[in-house]
Amino acid sequence: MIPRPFRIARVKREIGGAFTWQLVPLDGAPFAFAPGQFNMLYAPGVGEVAISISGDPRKTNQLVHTIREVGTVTKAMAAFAAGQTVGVRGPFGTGWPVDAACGHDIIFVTGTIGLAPLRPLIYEVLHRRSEFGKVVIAYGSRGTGDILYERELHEWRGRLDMEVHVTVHTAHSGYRGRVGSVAAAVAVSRFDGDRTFAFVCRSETMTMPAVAALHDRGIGSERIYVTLERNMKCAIGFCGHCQFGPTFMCKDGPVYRFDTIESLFSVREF
Amino acid sequence: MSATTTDIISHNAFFKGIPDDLAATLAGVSSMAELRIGQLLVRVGEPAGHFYIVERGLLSIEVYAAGRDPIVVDQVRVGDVVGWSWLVAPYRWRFDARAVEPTSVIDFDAITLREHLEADPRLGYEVTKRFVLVMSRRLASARERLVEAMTEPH
Repeated sequence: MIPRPFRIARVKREIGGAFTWQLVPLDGAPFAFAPGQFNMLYAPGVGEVAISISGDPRKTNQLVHTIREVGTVTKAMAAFAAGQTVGVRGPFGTGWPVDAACGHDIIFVTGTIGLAPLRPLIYEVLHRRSEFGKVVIAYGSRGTGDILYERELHEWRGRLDMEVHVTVHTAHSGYRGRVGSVAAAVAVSRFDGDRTFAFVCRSETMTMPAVAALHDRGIGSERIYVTLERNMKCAIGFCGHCQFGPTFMCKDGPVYRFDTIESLFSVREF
Repeated sequence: MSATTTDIISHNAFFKGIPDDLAATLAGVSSMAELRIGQLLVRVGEPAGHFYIVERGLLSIEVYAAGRDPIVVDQVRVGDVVGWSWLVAPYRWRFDARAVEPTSVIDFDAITLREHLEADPRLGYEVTKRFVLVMSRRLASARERLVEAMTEPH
């Protein structure tokens, strides 16, 4: 696939070396995607990286990506300014199964920059708010200064039709928000475990504790969806860089129903 | 001690299921206490002669750090217990606990209670197993946050 050229319309600095690009297609054609999918972003002359889409799927005239500055390509991207052109291949991978959750309660479980791959799904659920029961977000960060999309979390918490728990590892004395683990936030969330779908975006290591907290609340693995991240290169299942057991994350994932991969989590070599 | 306090202890989540006679012993070493916002309940380094169960309000568990403001590392909410330092030698607090909201606690005289625990193994077991559960949960939570900090970026 040949990358499509997009212009960086806006750059916004986020927490801890992350930044958000608002991209518009040079050809003006709409860009449709499903929440949970990712793109391969190309920095001309530097290289390509897989980045989850973090914008509103209903806004097909723009593309939003939140990128963390961590490797050669993303470090180069961090220096890009509005007006520059980048390449986009995609969208790739499986999406969050929003329709499966219709008529059920929903909990989103995530931390730090993991909110970015979940945000398109949160937008979509809020667009279709009347089709779901309770909607809960359990989000964790290191401190009060490390909260991604803080303004939106405040807006969502201000809504009367959703519950938002933001928890931090440590805080300043007198802080009245929640301090503790994300699992503790899941434990106090109000939803009916028998009829709830959970959407989880955590590091691979922290996925199991998140799932355990959801199991404790009565949500079975067949109603838990997780998104995983590996070093994706081709994005179409050819190169094998993102192989996870018998699956390739770029085409069989990154979103998986947890019971389909649960056995792989106990295999250390994977 | 009033029957009301015995009743409160019997129905508290922490002491749920404890036999009535042991609840009465616990009530005998307890009293109610009120805290203002910002008031310290316990201070690091001081003798740990009490433990507390939060009846109303919110407490922060703070670590004193020289040269900077205290750091909140945990919170204790309604129904939770504050402190196990009274159970482990050298019986000194290892953290500060401060009221973040107007807070009511059941205050247990742990020095007297320790004598009861020594004299009555049944009471000793019932109390100790509940504290071990709290310690286990908090250790698991601390480890979980440590792994989070190691594996998830800012």
